[in-house]
Parts: sequence; structure tokens; C-alpha cells
Amino acid sequence: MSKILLLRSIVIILVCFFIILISKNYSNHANLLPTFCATVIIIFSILDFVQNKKSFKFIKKNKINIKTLKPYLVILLSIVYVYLIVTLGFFVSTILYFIFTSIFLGVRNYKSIFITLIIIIPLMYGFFVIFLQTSLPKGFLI
Amino acid sequence: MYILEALSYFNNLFSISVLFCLFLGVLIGLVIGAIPGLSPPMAIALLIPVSFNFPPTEALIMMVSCYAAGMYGGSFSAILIRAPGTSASAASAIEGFELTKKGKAIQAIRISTFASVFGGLISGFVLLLLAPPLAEVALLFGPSEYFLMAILGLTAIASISFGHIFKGLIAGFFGIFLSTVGIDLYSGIPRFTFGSATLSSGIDIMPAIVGLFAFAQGLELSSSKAQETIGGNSKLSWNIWPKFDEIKRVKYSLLRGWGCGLVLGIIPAAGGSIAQWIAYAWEIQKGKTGDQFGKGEIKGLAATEASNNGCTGTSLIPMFTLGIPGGISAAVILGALVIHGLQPGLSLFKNNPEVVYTVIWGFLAANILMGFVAAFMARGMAHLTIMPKGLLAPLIIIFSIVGTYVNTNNIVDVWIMMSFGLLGYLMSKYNFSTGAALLGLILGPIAENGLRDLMVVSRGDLIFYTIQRPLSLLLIILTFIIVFYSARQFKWEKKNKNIINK
Repeated sequence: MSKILLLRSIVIILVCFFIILISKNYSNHANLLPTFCATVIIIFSILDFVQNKKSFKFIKKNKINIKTLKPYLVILLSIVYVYLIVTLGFFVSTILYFIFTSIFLGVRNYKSIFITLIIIIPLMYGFFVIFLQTSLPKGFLI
Repeated sequence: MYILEALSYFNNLFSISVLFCLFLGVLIGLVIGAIPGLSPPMAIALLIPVSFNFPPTEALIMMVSCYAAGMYGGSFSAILIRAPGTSASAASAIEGFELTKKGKAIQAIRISTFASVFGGLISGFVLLLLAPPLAEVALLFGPSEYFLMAILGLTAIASISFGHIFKGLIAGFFGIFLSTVGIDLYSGIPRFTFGSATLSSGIDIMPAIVGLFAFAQGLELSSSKAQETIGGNSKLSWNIWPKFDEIKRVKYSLLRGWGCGLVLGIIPAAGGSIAQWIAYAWEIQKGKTGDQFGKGEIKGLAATEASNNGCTGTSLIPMFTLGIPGGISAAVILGALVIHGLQPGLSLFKNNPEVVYTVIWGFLAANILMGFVAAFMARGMAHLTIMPKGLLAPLIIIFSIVGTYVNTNNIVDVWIMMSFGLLGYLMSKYNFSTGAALLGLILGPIAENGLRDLMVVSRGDLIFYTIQRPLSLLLIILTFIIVFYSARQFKWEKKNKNIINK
């Protein structure tokens, strides 16, 4: 029996119990739907665990390496990017984020990064700022 | 009588100002619809200040054109990069993107264009000829019908789980749970907000959909090799026009999709977001051995695309005839209608027939025009599929962030979108259907409000009240039929696993 599958089911069930516990404080039928959903999810999690426990043990464990961590590191870069767009400004942060992320993901053709930026940045400026007249986040740069 | 009156206003369409507004509406709708996070209601709202420069007829033509094209434009990004531009094109992302991965992006866009253009045209003709009598159908919908319609929609979860039925149901009910976040409208109690003012108004569909599909797709692509492309091959066909064989293969899928769209479009609050899933589930039920649903089945894409544009015209029926907007886009158009000094309702057809019938003709023309404009745009956009994943992934993430921010000018929505993105990525990784979660999020409020209204109007006797209403009975029967066929299909798939694998 895979520990991952068991752990996943336990986490889902614990979250559902937490929802049921909080829902108890809601009166006037406000607790009905969240409690119902949480209960149903608990039942289906148990059924899913029972259904998959046999097949799951044959699945090899994925080793943690840079490839499996890439999406999570991209999220971290994106969080930094969102902070930067309100401090540095949208366009400067976007250029920096695009260059760093592309290189981090393994793009070594710097010409293609440059060409993409040359096309995308003016297009974004023309569309969002000139045409839609939306206020993109501004920082101390642009 | 309606037909002759409607025909008499057809000539009004051929003026330079009308044609200009038509083209502008289509172009803006297609571009904004294709960007994840930017929705047709936003595009229509942006056109309101522009519309003051035109008479009411031209102004409204621009908006309905933008609405039709925006609905279709959302499918472009859904098919090409699995980042649906609108909530009504989320189901198209499933089969559409799988076709793109097989190098069949142009074929997918061909079918999408055909289904959308003709769906819009049929829907437009229904609007033109049957608007006043069909408006009465919308009035037949009460709390029990809304609740049962939501239940009917939820049955689609079973079909879109693709063999992971329990995971699909977990995802669906998780989506419904998420829809309960925010202040409860009946008791005024804040639910699961944890003191956050932003969460008090609930979770908006747009950040959720952009996160679950677009941002998650960016993360998914970032785990691949940087030089790989989505489409695999680097040659793109020029043939944008659909082939007879393709249409012949999907003819019944188109009919089912159009049917779903036409019917659900009339019902306020239903619309394309629900119609697409019901059409898709119906298509899977009707599937034959050899059909590859979930792996790039053209029939599934045809049904979803037919249904979302099939409802565009009929969703305007309650707005024009009763003053009840069928969805957010219709609500914005309704606002523009009032701003331009027109009074919605049946009196609109009596007092301003030249405006309303010319606008409907304009809507029909917009559907044809969008097919041609899209044909030219399609190939350019299809180049996204031959772009290295290392460049495409950050681009999708940037557009997800900027699209979400621009929609509300609120950075908190960006954080919500990114949270949904991580959730969507993890769900896809462990085979939990993101589509089911989205369906739950969309249908949750309809189901809860319907149920609680039903409890009030039925004075606690829900079953007796419900079975007295013919429309409710019809919905119950339909739900049972779908559950029966789903169970039968599930059993059959289990029994014939080897045949299916072959």
C-alpha cells in the first residue's frame, strides 16, 4: 500500500472534518451545503482509496530532482514577479521575469527570447495601455 | 407576422456606420475573448463609452457583435494552449488541446469555427423569429427548476472524469464547497472568509478559471523540455475551411450541441458555461467504440463549441423581451440599452422595432463576419503551438497575471488566481478533474439558491411541490436517464476494459 495514497486521503479527510467543524457555527441553513459537500468528499475519498490501493503499489516513486521541482520554482518566480510589478512597474518586471524564467526553463537561444520580447512588450503596451486604457500596476520604473 | 416585420428591417444593415460598428465589435470581441482573464462582459463594458458616439442601433450592434465574437474567441486559446479565454470555452480546452497536442490545431479550429458560426446563426434566427413566445418559457423557471437544472449539470461530472469517477466527484463537490465561500445571502453570515474582506464577496469565477486552466497549464509546460513544442510538428496547414467529411462525422454532435445551447441560453443564469458541459456529457454518453474522449475527440469539441455559441442569441431573448439579463454579458448590454434611452421588454418590439430587429440582423451578420476574421487570425494564433515550451510557459503565466489584474484592478485576485493555478496543477498531476471543480464552482450557487428558495416556497414540503410542476418532472426524468446511461457505460467500460484498450 502506498504511503502517498494514504497520506493524500488522510489530508483530504482532515480538511473535510475541519470544514464540518467550522460549518457548525453557521446557523439558518448556511451550514447545509458545506457540511454536505465535506461529508460526500470524505465518503468518496475512502472509496477512491479502496479502489486504488491495489494498483497504486506498483507505481514507482518519483525521485525529487530539478525537473519535478521546476513548476514549484516557477511559482516562486511568479510570486516575486507579482511583488515586483507593484514596486518596479509592470513592463520592467515583465521583461526581467520573461528573461529569467525562460533561461531557468532551459532556453539557450537568447535571440528567440529577445525577439519574443520585442514583439510582445509593444503589443501589450498598445493593447492594454493605449487601446483598453487600463491602469497596469506602476512602480518607480515603468 | 414577426417574420415579415423582421425582414422589413434587413436593409438597415447596409450602411457604412453599421458595418463599421459590426467589424469593430467582432474584432475587439475576438481579441479580448482570446486572452485568458479578459471576458466578453469586460469587452462590452469597454465599448460603452465608445458607443456614445453612435446612434442606439449602431451602438447595440457593436455590443452584440462583441458578445458573439468574444464567446467564440475564448475557444482559440482554449484549443491552442489549454487556457480558455471565457468560462464558456473551458470544456473545449479538454478535447481541443488534446487535438493540438496531436498536431491537429488547425483541424480543431476549423470545427470550432464551423460549430460556432452556425451555432450563432441558428441562435440568432431563433432570437429573430421566436423571441416573444420563447420569453414565456423563461418565466416558467422557478426555484425547483433551477435546483434541478444544477443537479442535471452536475451529472456531467461522471462523464468528464474519464475513468476516475471518485476523483471527479471529489473535485466536483470541492468546487461546490468553494462556491459557498463568502457572505451567505440568506442569513448574512460570512462563510469560510477567515476575516478577509476580499473573500466576503465569494470566489469570482474568472480568477478561478484562469488559475485552474491557464496558469496551471503554464506550470505544466514548465516541467517539459524547453525546446519541445505543444503541436509536436512544425508545419501548419493553410486549410482553414472545414471539410465535408469532418462535418459529416460530427453532424449529430453539432445538432446536440446547438440544441443544448438554444435551450439553456433562454434560461437566465444558465448560458454557455453550463450548456457546454451538458453538451459534452451528452456527447460522451452517445459515444461509440473507438471514440477517444479525453484524448482529442473531434465530436466532443464540436458539441462544446456548438453549444456555447448556440446560446448567444437565445440568451438575449429574456433581456430583450422581459428585461431579465440571461448572463453577465447580457446584463452589460441591458445597461447599454437603458443608457441609450431604450426600455427593454415586449414594448421594445412595438415602440422601437427598427432598433431591435436591425440589432438582431446585426447579430446574425456578426456571426458570419467572425468566421471570416477568425479564419485569418487562426493561422497566426496557431503559431503558438509551434513555439518552444520554454518561451510559451512564461508567456501564458504573464498573460494570466495581467488578464486577471486588468479585469478587476485588484492584486488580490491575482493571488487567488495563482492559488487556483497551483491547485489546478496538483489536481491534474493526481488525475482530479479540474473541469469538474469548475463545474461545481459554477453550479454551486445555482443549486444552493434554488434549494433554499424551494424550501421557502414549498414550506418544507419539497418533494410534493416539485412533482406538481411539469418542467421539474421533466428535469428529474432527464437526470435519471443520464445517471442510468452513465452507470451502464461505467459498467460496460469495466467489463470491456481490454477491448477499449485495444
